[in-house]
Amino acid sequence: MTVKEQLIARFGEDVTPEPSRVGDEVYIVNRNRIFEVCQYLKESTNPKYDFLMDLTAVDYLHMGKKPRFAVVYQLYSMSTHRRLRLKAPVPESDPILPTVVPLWGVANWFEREVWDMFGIKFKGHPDLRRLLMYDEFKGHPLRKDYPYNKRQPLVKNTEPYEDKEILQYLQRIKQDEATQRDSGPEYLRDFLKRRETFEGDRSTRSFLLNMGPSHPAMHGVIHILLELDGEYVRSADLGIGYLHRAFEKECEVVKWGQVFPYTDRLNYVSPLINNVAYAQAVEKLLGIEITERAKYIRVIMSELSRITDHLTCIAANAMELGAMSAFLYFIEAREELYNLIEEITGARLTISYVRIGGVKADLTPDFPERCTRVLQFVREKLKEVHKLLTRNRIFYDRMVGTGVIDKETALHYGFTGPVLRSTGVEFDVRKANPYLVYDEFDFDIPYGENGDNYDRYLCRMEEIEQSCRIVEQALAKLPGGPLNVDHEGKIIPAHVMADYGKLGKTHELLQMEAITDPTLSGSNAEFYRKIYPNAKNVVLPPKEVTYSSIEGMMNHFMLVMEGVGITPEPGEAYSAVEGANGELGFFVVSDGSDHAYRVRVRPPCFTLMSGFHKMIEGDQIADVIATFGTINMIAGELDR
Amino acid sequence: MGVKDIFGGENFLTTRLDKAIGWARKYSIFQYPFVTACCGMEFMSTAASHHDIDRFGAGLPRFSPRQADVLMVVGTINHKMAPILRRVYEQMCEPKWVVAFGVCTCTGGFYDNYAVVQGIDTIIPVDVYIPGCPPRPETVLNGLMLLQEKIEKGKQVY
Repeated sequence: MTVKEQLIARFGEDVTPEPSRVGDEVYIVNRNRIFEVCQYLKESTNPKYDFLMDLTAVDYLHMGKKPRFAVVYQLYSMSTHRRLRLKAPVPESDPILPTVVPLWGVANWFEREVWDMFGIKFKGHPDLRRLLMYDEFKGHPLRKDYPYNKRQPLVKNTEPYEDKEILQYLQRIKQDEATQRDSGPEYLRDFLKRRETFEGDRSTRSFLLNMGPSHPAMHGVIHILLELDGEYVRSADLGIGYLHRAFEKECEVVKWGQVFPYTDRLNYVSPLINNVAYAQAVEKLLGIEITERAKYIRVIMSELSRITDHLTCIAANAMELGAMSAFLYFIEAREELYNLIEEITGARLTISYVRIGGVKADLTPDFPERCTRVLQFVREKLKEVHKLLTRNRIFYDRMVGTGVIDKETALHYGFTGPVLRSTGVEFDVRKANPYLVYDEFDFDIPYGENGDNYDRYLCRMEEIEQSCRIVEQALAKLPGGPLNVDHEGKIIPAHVMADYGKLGKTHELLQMEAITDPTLSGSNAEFYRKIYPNAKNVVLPPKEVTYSSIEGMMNHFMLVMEGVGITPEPGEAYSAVEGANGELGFFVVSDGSDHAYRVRVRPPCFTLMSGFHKMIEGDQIADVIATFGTINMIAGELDR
Repeated sequence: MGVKDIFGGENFLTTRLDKAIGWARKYSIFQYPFVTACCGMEFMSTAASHHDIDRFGAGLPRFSPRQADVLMVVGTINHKMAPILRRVYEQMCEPKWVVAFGVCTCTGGFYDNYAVVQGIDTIIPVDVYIPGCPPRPETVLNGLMLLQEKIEKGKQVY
């Protein structure tokens, strides 16, 4: 029996399959039964969809759908690596539906975010506060009727937590105590027992400490409220949103192709992976298959980016633990990589190299040789840092056995990437759901056993080496031939993409052959707008063509002007890649116009941080720094 | 007793002293890196061995605002972060300078939306603006040299 049959047999009319143009498995669920459907999928179906990948909402106000909102659940099956999407329509008049927090811990933050951004409430949610915005903020910014640039007055300088709030917080903890005394983690049970013996009539109060948002030993802006029992962390509460830059709202304002610069700044340590992930989602929506060469180049660039990410993570982590020289060595290696990337893409950090339908420019002829040299350099530095850190007594003592998380908790909190793999779960999108050409390479995925900081450190170190291997194999296999698809999905030979105009060789423009543009429309623009979605016209023509022929000029014009250009048919698609921190997914919704209707990014850091308190509870306060470092939280991605 | 009193407080001496103090201050910048976003990556590059900010006497970051005299605002400031930035600035002792690092801090950059502060000069005074998204390390060093010039030639408070 397929999942579809199982669901319909169990829930009848409350679950209806929705046809998807792009091949996703989608079901519309009656909102009142969403908890039961999720529970059934998590525990009883065959295969089980036991992992909550993402939870978000879409506001259909401008698409005219009724009811106005839909809450979207992206489920994943860890055993069969299949994806499934549930959509629960929610009317504007009564925006409330049952929570799924008891099933997945990660839903706590996801639901808080949906409440913050859309004003949809979740019945039974333990702690429905704003997450990304501040408490004084009025309205819900991702609703379509909230103007994207409507700023609200800056709030006054307040204490991060007033006394009143601390008291409320303690009250909440006290309520939890009864349950934790019986079923809570071991250290907490011990703590409560000890307190009972000592307490008598003189009650002790634990010490509250605010850490961040501007803290010397933490890169990235985050606010951690620690409840301390002496030197030990008893519980923690996280405040995020200090780098909320309205990425998802901004995407709805600009055109499809203009989203790339914003994706660069999500996880700014590995921007190329974000570019690839977004392009892949839009291509899925458009139904475009990119050329072989572009696929290889995307793989190479993604892996180089992954190396820079891991280098930066380990460097910053080591620096925060006091190992400055490891930081300097790794940043030196990263600098070489930046120079290499800059040679191809034109920028060091915020790159916007990938385009819908291909990539911006071809590799230079000496790239393979240079790349091999740089990888050699990276390996040298890797060896040096291995010598410096891996068996270093101080480093070892601070990393081993701290920040421990077990397999079940990690899955419960939706962890992916190196942090999940350090606990021993074998999940990597590159292996589980191969995209681009990852199935053609021979590489290993390192796994840990203990799920502590040291395992995570080793996983990342090994992943750098494996990424080097992938790049080398890709360079060896790199196929020639065309780079981008042109209008109508045909391929453009690489030499045509040379862009002589940009190189200053304008006299050569006149010798270029003009290509007749099928989209030359003039006053027929309205007619073409209707048929446009079917023409896979997504890549800007080379500047030679743009400058030397009226057809090229028109083609360019048609792609960049308001109202025309890349216009996918109405529909939605979810597509994921393996980011440096875990699964990086993009959920894109199109209403058939040249703007994205909704772009949702599933940030890997977000789920990691939502379970961060589980990793530090019971540890000493100094271990918070080490744990925070190995998580590799990137605020741009966390807060978007 | 101020430095002026030690030297008798005469005008001639004060101007020369101004110059000497300016020269000394220029090369002993204790910066407070208020790093929030992407620009932090280029800040790291500038600080590390390739570009080596230490050559300009600004190599030592102080993570307490009370020990710092240059506030480097590195990365986007949004409405939630703004009060914290303001408070950090107020905690710094005089004389103090502020560097707006990256276009988000200069003008808000391409984040023209409900969340982002459109330039930190709406909250605190800024001495040097370093544009770029993010600025290259060379640009940062150029900005730093401009700041040094400003520190050297400005009126010295002591």
